Amino acid sequence: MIHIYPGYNKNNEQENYECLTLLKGSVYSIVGPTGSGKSQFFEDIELLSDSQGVTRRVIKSDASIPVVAHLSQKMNFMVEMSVEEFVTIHASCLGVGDTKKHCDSVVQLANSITGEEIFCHDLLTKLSGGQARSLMIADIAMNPNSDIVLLDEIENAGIDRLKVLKMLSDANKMVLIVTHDPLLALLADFRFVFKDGGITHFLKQTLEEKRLSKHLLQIDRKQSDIRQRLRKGMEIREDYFNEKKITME
Amino acid sequence: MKITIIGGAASTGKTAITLYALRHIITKGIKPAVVKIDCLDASQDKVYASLNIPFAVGLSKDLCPDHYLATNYIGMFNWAKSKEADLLIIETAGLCNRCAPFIDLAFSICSIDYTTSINAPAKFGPIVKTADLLLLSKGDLISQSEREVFNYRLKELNPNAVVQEVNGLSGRGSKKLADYILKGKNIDSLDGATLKYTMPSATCSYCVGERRIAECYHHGIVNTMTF
Repeated sequence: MIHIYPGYNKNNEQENYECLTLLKGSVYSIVGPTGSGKSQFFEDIELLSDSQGVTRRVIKSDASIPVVAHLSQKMNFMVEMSVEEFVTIHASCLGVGDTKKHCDSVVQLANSITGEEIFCHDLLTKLSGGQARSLMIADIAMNPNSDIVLLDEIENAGIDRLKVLKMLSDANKMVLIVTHDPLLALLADFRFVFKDGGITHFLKQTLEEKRLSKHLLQIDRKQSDIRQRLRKGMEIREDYFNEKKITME
Repeated sequence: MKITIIGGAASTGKTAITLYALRHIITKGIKPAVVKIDCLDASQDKVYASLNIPFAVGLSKDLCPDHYLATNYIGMFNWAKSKEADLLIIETAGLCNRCAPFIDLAFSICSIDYTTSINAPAKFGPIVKTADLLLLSKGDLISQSEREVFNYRLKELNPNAVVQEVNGLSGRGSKKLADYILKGKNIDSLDGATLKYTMPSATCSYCVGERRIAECYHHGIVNTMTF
């Protein structure tokens, strides 16, 4: 559990809340244009900022030092090792007893969110973008020590982003996700809205939003379907849209 | 006056993060002085001049930079005192992983680049083992799991050091770094100060400029490989 006390935006105006409490097992989306303070917010959380920071936001944690896992688009595997070798080494650093079993679970979990199968003997540095991203996420989900997961724009990584959110919240992590994807933003339990370096809104997903998100899911499926068709070398014609009309309310 | 020494391989972000930390330090009304020790060229370090603080460069040229540093500690200390500084920061290149540039009376920071591969800690020697603070940069470029393995291995080498992740581009972590630097103890003189680790012997013919490599030119302390 972490508590956030108000800081100041770029115009030196105080944020309008008293204290926000974030819980494990919940998903928080973070929306706002670039330069609105989203990445700075991640930094505040990672460093448990005090009132001396850029934003003067104060962040306190119930655990003395929470273990924060951070995943962004520009991260890569650098080490020249096989998947199995590395995941096993990581597991032994984490104090996991049965490292072989742990490794199998991580790879299995990673394969559930990526389209191209990862094999234990694959070299880390040879994994595709989507494979690498899914392995990183699976490894974080299976890390018993990490409490807070920060995800930075993972929507373009070629992974099943909806399964990722479910996987991480099922693993009882506190998940914060910066996203420009309306579906991800809407599906989160709570939503932060940023502007000019400050938090302007902190909203709980309403029941109505929950109900309406199925429309966005439909659009999302439609888009995936079109993507698949394009990949198969098919042409997209007008009748395609007429046949399967997307209903918007 | 407090002394902080920051060492580590080239391009790990020492200068960038030190600059950010200095800005925090200056706003607290503390007067720092900076010395940069390098081998051949320190031209990039004009950036320190932008802070308008006492700044000096030492170029070791043909000498090992760590030996050069050891013989110049007293001189740098006296120089900083004459500038009425409250804090002396010495930035140095720790080059071959054989040495550590640190002295016992100073706060010692070792700067490390995460992207050097998780097998790197095994290659680090005294510079990691004798540091008070390990400064880790470029962590935003590698996976979370690699960072965790890297940290675990550093902890095995030096369980007592504080670990601080930083980003030399954004300045992330620089405020915490500044806080650690300012916690260093005040000292009046370097009398009685010692190096934390011995320097390597530099007493063969090549130390004094020999270039011919035939066996008959090997003089002094020579250690040849056995195959």
